[in-house]
Amino acid sequence: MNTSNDSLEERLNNSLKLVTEQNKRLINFSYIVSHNLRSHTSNIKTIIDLLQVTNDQTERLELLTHLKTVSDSLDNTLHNLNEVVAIQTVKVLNIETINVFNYIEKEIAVLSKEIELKKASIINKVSNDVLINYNPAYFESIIFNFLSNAIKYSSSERQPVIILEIEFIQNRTVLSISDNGLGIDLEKNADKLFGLNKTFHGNKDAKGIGLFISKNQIEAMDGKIEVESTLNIGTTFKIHL
Amino acid sequence: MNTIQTVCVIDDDTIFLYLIKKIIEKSGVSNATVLHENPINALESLKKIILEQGAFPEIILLDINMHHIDGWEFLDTLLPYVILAGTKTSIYIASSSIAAKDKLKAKTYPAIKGYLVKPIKSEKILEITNEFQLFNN
Repeated sequence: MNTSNDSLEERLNNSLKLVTEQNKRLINFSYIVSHNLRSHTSNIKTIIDLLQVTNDQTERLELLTHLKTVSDSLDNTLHNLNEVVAIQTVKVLNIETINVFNYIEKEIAVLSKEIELKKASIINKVSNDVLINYNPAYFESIIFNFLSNAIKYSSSERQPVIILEIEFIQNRTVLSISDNGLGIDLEKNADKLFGLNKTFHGNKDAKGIGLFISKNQIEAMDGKIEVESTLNIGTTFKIHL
Repeated sequence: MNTIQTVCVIDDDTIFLYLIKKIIEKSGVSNATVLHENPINALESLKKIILEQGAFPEIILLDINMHHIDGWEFLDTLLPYVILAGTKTSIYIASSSIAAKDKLKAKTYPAIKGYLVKPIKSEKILEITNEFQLFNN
């Protein structure tokens, strides 16, 4: 009797946790939709208002150039939000057997320009016989996001070194990605790291959205992500695949 | 019309900065508009004005969602200086967020005179300059 009550309580608690988590994600999502779309539309509105009262040709040209930039950013924002919605709504995911080593090598090749620019050293320590069942598009995007993030936030004081390794924890394949970059003050920024709190207008920096999408994809595959970081020492992400 | 010396705008959206400068110029209320794209540089520059007893902007428009530090962290760092020096300034939040949590948080800061939702029109700029003059003359 007692045991069954315990497991019932445990199941209830798990459901509660799940619903709370989903709720939090929805609130976060509606906040970002409201904020990020509005920041673009309010700029568009102001530009149009100014165009209506301005006769100066140089100023009109300037305003039109800005209108083009805002329209591109708006398009980019919508694209990103669509991607997030797609992750939340797809019910049956295409699963394939993936060679982890090969996928990492592929993304290293995609990022070769950025890697060269920062003179970064990417060490793929995954043995080439590790196979996982995963959605290929998600896995590509996850590797790309974490790698490009590690390169982008590398320290200019030392050569960037990024190490990818596989460990097996409780029957689960865990991919760790460690860097010696700028690091994150987790006490202050833990909730911001995977959230969508930061704006990503102007296209110049898509900070925030990449990790948010990755986290959603990892969770859609029933995995989870852990992070350890020390300011100015580096960051390790552990992805439970 | 009475004019004030300086309006300072802190926002990491460079297009908004360009537009608000035009709006403030068109409203004709201020002699100068100081724009800051980076909130950390803005903090340094405003702290310096207080420490050197220079001319502090009468009106500050501050964004919430910014890179580096957000508007709240910005205020938490700047306000002690403003309060200790008894600086006369009107701080307004200028955000595209209509979320209740942001508006409520703004209410917890007595130093914040108001919450402006973007887009900001020149009428609004006139209104807040008048308010500043009513309070300080």
